[in-house]
Amino acid sequence: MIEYGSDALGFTGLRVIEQPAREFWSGWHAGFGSTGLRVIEQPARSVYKGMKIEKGKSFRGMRIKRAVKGLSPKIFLATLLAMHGFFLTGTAGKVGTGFGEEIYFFCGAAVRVPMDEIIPNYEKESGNKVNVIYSGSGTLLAQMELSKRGDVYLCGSPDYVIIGEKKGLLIPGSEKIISYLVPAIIVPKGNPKNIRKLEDLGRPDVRVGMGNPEAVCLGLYGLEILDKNNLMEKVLPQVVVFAKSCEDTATLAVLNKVDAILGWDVFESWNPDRVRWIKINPAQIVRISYIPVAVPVFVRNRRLAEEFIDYVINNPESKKIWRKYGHIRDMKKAKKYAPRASVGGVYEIPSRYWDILKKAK
Amino acid sequence: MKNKFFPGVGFFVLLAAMVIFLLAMAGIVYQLFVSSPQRAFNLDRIIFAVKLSLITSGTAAFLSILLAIPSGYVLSRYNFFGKKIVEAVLLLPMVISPTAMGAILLIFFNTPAGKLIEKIFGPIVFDVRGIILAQVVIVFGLAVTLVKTVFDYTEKEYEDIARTLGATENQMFLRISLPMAKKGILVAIILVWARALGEFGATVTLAGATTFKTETLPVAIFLSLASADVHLTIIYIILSLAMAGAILFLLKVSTERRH
Repeated sequence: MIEYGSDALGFTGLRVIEQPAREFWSGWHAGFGSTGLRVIEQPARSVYKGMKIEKGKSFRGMRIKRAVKGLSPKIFLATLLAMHGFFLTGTAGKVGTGFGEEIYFFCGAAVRVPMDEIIPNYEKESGNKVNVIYSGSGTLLAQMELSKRGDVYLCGSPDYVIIGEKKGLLIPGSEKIISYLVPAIIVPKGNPKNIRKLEDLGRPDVRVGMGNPEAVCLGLYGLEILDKNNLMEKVLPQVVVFAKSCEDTATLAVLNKVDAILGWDVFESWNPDRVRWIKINPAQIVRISYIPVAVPVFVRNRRLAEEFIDYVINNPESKKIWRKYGHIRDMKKAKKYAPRASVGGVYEIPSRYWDILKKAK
Repeated sequence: MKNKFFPGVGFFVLLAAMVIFLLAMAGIVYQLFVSSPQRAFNLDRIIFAVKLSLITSGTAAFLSILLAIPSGYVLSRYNFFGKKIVEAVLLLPMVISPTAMGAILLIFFNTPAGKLIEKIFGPIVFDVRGIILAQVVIVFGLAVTLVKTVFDYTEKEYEDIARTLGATENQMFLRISLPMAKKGILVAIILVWARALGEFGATVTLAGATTFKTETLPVAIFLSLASADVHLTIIYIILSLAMAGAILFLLKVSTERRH
């Protein structure tokens, strides 16, 4: 039984009595599923005295009319408010306080592992619910565009923030940086083909794996490195497979399916027992990437979205989790691996790329 | 009035389904016009994806039916120890997630047995052969089940008569059983082909998503959506719908012609 008998409702106490389903149709009810709810108007005094009123009796015929007629606008409004609180949030008293709200979080699958630890922490501390949708960064943008939904967007590289802003899906200037990513050669444990430098990927005996540059950010960064170091013609024919996502690219090395992949430094901390990070000559790295998080234009409660973003980036517990999974949080540290590299920005796939692929076919 | 209730509901449901379908199509066409292409249109790639899809799914359908005819016949006509288990295992790839099936295959080709197979038949992992294999694995259970059902419904009496007239089992199968099941098998080929055409999860896991190599139509749809290119995605979707429509139309024609 739920009782609303408070001073907030003025002199009137409102009492909602839960009834078994059997009686659902027999009174003046509003309810869902198997629970019938009966709203009875009565003087506050009697509620305060804890008197037992009307229990067991049902409103029928004239009583219904009388009950409805007797509802003053004030009481009617109070009833609506009380029912709204009950049905919409499931817990009366939590409406509009910012507590128990829900966040639609469109999150790049590349950070699923740390996020699976951060999100439950946030939910426990804030009482809010995070509805997380994991997928590729571009897929998430398309999903937001088509569903017109999303409170927070996290992607694998800044390119998608640029696309998102261009498409009018993200609030300009809302972008924040979580961590930096350095392009790296990742080889299966033991480095079977003894790969030491970028040029080794062009050797005829080496099978290389990459993310598809059109859809996967690390593929694009890898391609740019090959392009700027004049290795595209040599290495692309050695690429035996394009993976469809960042994690799939990592899996290629983990499952020992190729001799080397062009990936991110963090892959080593994802699978320290299965793969090794071969550092690319710092002078050859033209660009380092970062993991951005931004607020979509569809956000329902911007303050809440920003609060969540702040928790993900700055909460001490979150920071620990990012470090645990090898994410570089400081730009200076990332620059150590690539002092001449620019951070973020766009790289367009050159038309030469298609010609090389067609020729390789 | 009371007697017409049931067909009435049926008509209503069909009408509702058609309305929803048309609305969804209208949404697709609308999106095509409101979205703008992200990159320059690359016709070569689209043609490649369509051709690769048709060839691989056609080959996979043909191979699966070729293997399903004798196995479906055996399952229909003979009882043997473990028959139920065999039937269940055959249907397994249809029930579990295609990505899981792809991963199982990928891991299998890491074993000595898998490596031997690649040595004999040439590269399968990350290759066009991989696409065909993934599709065959996914649709084979369906093919066998369909063919078995076809044989279940052909009259066994004619086969018995052929045997009493002195036909060998081979002759009986080729001259009597197979011709009688011809039409059903044709339908099975088309259904299996349609299923193989839409296969994505196992294909992309085993064969990858390599441009101008293993990019089938479903993979192309995934990649264009993954690069947030709604416009190109919709072009691919319309192409897939047209192909699926043509195949299903073929199915309707082949089933209704000789009624």
